[in-house]
Amino acid sequence: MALPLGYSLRNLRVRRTSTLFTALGIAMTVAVFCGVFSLKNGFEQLYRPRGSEDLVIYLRPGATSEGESGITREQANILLKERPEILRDDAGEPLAALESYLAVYMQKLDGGLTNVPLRGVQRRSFEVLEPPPRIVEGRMLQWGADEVIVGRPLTGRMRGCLVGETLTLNLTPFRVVGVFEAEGAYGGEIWGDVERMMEALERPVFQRVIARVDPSVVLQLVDIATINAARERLGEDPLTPLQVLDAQLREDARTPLQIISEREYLAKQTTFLSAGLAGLAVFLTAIMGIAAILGAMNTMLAAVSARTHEVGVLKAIGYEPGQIFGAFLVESALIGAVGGALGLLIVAPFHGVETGATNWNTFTDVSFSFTLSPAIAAMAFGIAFLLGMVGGALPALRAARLKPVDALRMQ
Amino acid sequence: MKVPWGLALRHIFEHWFRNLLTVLAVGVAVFLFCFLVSLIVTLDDQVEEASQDRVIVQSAVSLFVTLPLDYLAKIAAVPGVGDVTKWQWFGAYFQNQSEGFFAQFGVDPDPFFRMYERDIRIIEGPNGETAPAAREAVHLAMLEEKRGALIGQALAKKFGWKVGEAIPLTCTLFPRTDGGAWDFVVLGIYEKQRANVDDSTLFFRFDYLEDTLRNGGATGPLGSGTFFVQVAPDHETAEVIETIDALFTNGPQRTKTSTEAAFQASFVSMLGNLPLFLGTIGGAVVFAVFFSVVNTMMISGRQRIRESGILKALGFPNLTLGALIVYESVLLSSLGGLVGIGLAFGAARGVRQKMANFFPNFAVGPETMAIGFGIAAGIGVIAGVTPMVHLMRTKPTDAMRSEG
Repeated sequence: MALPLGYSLRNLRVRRTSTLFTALGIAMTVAVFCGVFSLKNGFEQLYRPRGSEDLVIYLRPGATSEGESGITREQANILLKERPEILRDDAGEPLAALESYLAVYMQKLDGGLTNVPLRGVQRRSFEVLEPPPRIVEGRMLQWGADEVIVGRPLTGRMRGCLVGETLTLNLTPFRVVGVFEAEGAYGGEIWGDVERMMEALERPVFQRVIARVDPSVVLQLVDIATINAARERLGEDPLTPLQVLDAQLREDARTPLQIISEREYLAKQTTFLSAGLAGLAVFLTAIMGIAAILGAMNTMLAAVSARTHEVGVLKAIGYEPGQIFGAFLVESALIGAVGGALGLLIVAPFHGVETGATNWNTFTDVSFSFTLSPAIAAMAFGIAFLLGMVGGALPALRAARLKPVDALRMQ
Repeated sequence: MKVPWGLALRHIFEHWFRNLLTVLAVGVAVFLFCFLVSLIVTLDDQVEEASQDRVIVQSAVSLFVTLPLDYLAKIAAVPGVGDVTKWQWFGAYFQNQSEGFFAQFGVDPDPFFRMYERDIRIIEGPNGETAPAAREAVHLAMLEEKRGALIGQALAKKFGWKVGEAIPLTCTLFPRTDGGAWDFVVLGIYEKQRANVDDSTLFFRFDYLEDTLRNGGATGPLGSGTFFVQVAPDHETAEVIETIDALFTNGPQRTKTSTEAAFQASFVSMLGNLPLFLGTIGGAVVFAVFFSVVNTMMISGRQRIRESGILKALGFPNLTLGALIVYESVLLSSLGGLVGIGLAFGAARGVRQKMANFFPNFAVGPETMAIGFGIAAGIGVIAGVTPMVHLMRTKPTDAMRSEG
């Protein structure tokens, strides 16, 4: 027969101060783990793949983010007029928008400067994105006017972002006329008419063209099946129609550009900060985890030595060493579980709290919130449990190995 | 009656395993504390050691907008302005975009060498010269060789670059039209003298970039992201800043001039809440370990209730008993503090190498170590007081009857 769970539970209650202190050590570890991973999660949510597959971005070859890209007006016009993959509406107009992008200095409300993405957009920008950004306060900007609309999180974090205020871009004042909400990182940007932006900033090139496309048109021109069969024989991955288009476009002397799906582009914008936060979380959890294990080990060692006599009695009435080991291990795992629960309680109020950081890939400020997910919580609880078990293993072994006669003699 | 201090040591050794765990726990906490605080201090040092009489002119609009090159002559004509150099971010990498990434700046050699005389020490010249002769040699060699580069010693170590070696760098900001890499030749190696510079930067000739852009060898914005300006002695920095910005209020590009210190501070501010965040975590760790040590000392206190009863019966005053347990506790936690400081000191080297792009100047300073040790000792005092009070309150007769 195994020692009942109640035995372990009762022991925890008797030594409640010790249990609580040890559990708090584990709780802190778990809280830090959850906190950093919630940040990482919130940040990555901004760039998670969404919308339809047929949304693509044209950039200058070699550019890894919009900021580095440049597309001349001439190139852009050829692109819109001639590329067969770009979808067209009923009137035959391309479903594409020319956009400019620049990270501009803004004053944070809590002091200090940061870089906020300023995007010059066209009417079409609102149509190609899915779901389309929507105005939640004020009104839509007027095309051709010196007006901007700002992403909602910015209004609470930056100076000069309220409706009615003025934003001066180099020499030209732009009026904030509305606040918008949009999916992902777009939601933390400032948008204005691309032509007005380019003139005010004296930047003659666009940074990207965003368009809805049908990559399969390339199949009419290129026998992709034969190419892929050949690649397969060489052990290479098959090409997608988009990759064939991309290769074509890069070699086009008039429009040497790269084409990348928005999904893939977004995924490439999180690498540095995500890796940084993950590294920080692992480092902190490892170090704090060691401290927590040491604490748990101490508590359990004390528990064992205080109950030496009791263990002797248990052994004398026929409990096997394995069962004693199990009972102490369960006790320690329970401390871990209590710690895990406490840790989640500590971190729970942070869920949804909005914050900002610099995305190291684009070097611009992004607004996001702590986003605790069930997966993070489950992982944290698992870690807490594990910390308890690891800390308890050695003391439990010591209890299991006690000789009944010696143990009974102990007072 | 004499205080039996030896008793505390005996206790420590009797339960050596448990006490070792406590020492290690405090050690880990102090390590993490020192480590996190040092990250923040490193960032602050960059700001504090920056020069107050060196000012930086940049676009008022954006970090990514370059200023027209003819601004240089206009700035140089401002009263109170000494040397002026262009200072352009290059953003290239060596072989691999994530691991081979480091800072490169295009500068004008003459003013650069004059302005940074005290900030960097050149330790190796083109023909094996060492300091101080290397400075003059590298300066002259840079004027001769257009592709010449001066690199920090950490960079030289990381990539194993030697003086005289040609290094190809791939640049996404200024891609070469032939699709190839930019070539540089290492002419000298420097060592930073102050925290506002780091040992992981490459300086090259701005005119190499400029001429390549002009003759179509590469594409990208032609201009300088910033101008570094030395304010002449006996001139007010604030006044010079004002005059420079006033020059360009009507364009074509408005400027924002700030001292080097303020410029560095703006980069730290872009890290957002990171310093606050790290500080909070440091606090949480200390707090968590504090509980763990209190816990151990309470266990320790409980285990000697009977012994303390005996001591009381022998006539030792209450205070002696209390002092003994606090002594034991402080001894353990101080030892842990030393372990933690040792760990942090050892880890600093690793950080400088692995995270050279973010914290090239990372070091654990003596103040940080002192605070870390103080915290450890403080934890020991407080952790000892709880069981002390308990022991002092217990009556000798009850204590002796206790089973511990």
